[in-house]
Amino acid sequence: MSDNMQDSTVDQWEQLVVFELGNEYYGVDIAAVNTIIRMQDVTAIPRAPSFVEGVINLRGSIIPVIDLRKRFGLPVTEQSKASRIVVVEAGGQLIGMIVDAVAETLRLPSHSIEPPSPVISSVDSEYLRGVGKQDNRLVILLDLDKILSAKDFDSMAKVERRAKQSAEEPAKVAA
Amino acid sequence: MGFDMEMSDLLSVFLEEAEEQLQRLDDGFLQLERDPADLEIMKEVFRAAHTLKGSSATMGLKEIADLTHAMENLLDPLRSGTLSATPEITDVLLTGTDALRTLIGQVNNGEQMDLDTSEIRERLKAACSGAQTDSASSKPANKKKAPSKVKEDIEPGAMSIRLKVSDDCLMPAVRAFMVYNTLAPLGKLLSADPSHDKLEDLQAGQEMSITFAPSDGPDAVVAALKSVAEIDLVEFTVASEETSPQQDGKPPASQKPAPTARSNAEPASKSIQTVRVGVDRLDTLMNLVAELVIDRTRMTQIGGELASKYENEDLVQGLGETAVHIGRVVTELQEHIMKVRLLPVEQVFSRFPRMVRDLSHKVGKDVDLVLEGQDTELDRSILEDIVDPLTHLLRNAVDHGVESPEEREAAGKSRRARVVLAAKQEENRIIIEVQDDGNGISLEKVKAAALKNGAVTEELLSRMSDDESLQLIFASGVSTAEKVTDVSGRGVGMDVVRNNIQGLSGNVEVKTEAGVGTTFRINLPLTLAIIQALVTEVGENIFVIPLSAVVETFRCRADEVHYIDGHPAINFRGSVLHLCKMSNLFGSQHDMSLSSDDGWITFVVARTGALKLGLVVDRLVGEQEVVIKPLGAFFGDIDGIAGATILGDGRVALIVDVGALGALVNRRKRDRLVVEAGRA
Repeated sequence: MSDNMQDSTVDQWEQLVVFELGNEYYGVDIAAVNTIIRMQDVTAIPRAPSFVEGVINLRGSIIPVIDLRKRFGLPVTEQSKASRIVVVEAGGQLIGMIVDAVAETLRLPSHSIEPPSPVISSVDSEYLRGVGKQDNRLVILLDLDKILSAKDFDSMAKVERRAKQSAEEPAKVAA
Repeated sequence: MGFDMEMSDLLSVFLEEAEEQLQRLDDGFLQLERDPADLEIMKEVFRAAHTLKGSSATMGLKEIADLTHAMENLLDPLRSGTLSATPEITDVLLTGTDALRTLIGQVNNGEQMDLDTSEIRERLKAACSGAQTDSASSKPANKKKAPSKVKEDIEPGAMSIRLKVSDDCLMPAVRAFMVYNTLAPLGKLLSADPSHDKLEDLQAGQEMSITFAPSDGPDAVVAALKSVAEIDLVEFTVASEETSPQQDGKPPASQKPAPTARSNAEPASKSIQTVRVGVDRLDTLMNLVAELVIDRTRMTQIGGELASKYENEDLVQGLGETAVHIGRVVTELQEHIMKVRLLPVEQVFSRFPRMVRDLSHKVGKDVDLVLEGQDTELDRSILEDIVDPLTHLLRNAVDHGVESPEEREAAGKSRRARVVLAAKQEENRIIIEVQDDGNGISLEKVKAAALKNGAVTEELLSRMSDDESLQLIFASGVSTAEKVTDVSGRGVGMDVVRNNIQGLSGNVEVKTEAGVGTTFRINLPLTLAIIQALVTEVGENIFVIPLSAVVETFRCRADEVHYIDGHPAINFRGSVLHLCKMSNLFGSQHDMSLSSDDGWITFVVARTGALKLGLVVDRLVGEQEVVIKPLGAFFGDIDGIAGATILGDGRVALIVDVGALGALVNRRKRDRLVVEAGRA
């Protein structure tokens, strides 16, 4: 950050799509956002990690949808009318993220973005790219590749599956 | 114009036709071995070799030309009868075609031809010396020569040349291209019909007309053209004096428009019969049609809902009629595009006679491979994937299936064994059978091997029917071969065969009769992208079961269900049918108990291999055509789910992988027996 601060050039801008999650504002790079759609029926997928809601039909393609609240371990709330699915492209794949509401698009000068600090957000700083300040509001920038990396998912799914299985095994033997 | 035809264009024409000639050679050699006196075949083989030699020489592929030449030398005494096509000679010749194929493959891949053919050529020569080596080798088949320098003298001018491709020419396109190639250094081509991009459609016996401005003179051109084999010069006229030689290839204005106009004006005269299209384009088309299929279903649904809402509205009725019509068109479109992707199984079958021959020689057997139904058509992608399973089954049939000639004689059979590879269409499925008239598979050996290998326990085996036990040969590691050869007997393979075929939404069964033979029957869908399926509801979820796996649907009372180690099963038509609670795919796996509000349990009897299982659902919705879509790398492989599809109302439904569910049940059966054994 200090580099940017010292430059104090304002030509560098970040364009973000800002959405709400819990009581916080999160932003993702606008270039990564494919579309934003209303909530729709999600088809559950067996044995998927718990934060994976399932799949939806996006204009004829089947894409996975994850619940960002569950992904970040935030308390789960009922989906409301304002809930949206933000469809982003990460790792060459389209993925939907369920968010509480979409706020706006925002242009932030690069120098107003600071590196993430654990204090600022309830989300693990590992998934964050930085924190943008606008007026009195903080916008937390997400690192999509980290949140949505399939590798991460796969290993998480495996861990969950194993946990489930070991929970079942004793029951089976007892039977 | 014509002359800027890319070398690569020419090369692809050459490669394609060369492949044909090679196949002709292969087939011919095999037939000659059977019947050396068949003059027609001899002629055809000779012609194929000759053509290949000529065209490869023109292409500057010396290695290929030299090798073909050496083969031709051996063919000559065969034709004259001083040598006969013994298996040894056929072997040498086939080695030759193999080497040619390798070389051509290298050319095709743009690699250097680095295969050393000198040894093969030596062998061909050695085989030849059985007969008198003489005139054959001295016959220069390819008379292509650089047109000797012609003194620049006499009246130059544009020439109109008419050529005719001889009636029995095998590679007209290459010949035509040779014409253009020969002419290239001699002047400038003004117009050509057929033009270079239509060369591929040139037929034997057809005429070509060329307008050409020679830089040296017509004599050189005529001489050069005469050197092109299988092309006859019909006539040529030289334009009048007003064409000045000093224009150096620049044709006079008066001369040029006429031929150009003509060749442009009559494209219809040489109509194009075929178009080559990349597979990816076909795939794109198929995807688009798949989208339409989904929308068609959706539209019909909306139409139905509207009609019930606004019964007497003319517009709604009109919409309904239009929807029906669009539906019909889409169905037709889908069928046609699917057909475009179909290829005759011959494309795969044609490689097997050679393989069976080589193999049977190697293992000392006499086997006649009979191909049936070669024109049966199958989706391209499926066709590619059945090569390995079929190769394996045929190798097994030759190696283990049929007996040696001596054994056969002793058993009162003909010395020559018969292996049939047959394809046929049955409704929407393709059936491919590999059938041998050997000694059959010993059920006892299969059982013993399966026990030894641990694929099954004695306990379980005792409960299996003969037919079920026989299917154990598809289990991994089970082999009945007494000795392991490099051909087969390692026990790997049959499970791969089954997995490959199941991966294509197909199944394979085996039937055998002691002393009479064995039949493997492969059942495949016509296409993979769109399948007929049974739509079912399980709680809030919709599961789609491929109709190919469905045997029937059934209802029973909840109190008829027994629990084997907590897993539900019923007595269904006299045998145990394991029930698979579909809702268990989600969430808890413990709750195995079945119940319903009205006391009835609905299930779909599905089959995978020899196993039948009942898939318990809440409600049957109906049959529907669905388009299979992958779930994507994001989810990886999910046990029991083969993919997803989009229903008419836009919802996503999961497609059940019956094979995987069956495997799950089988594993459980085995586990249980292990547990039981542990307790005892």
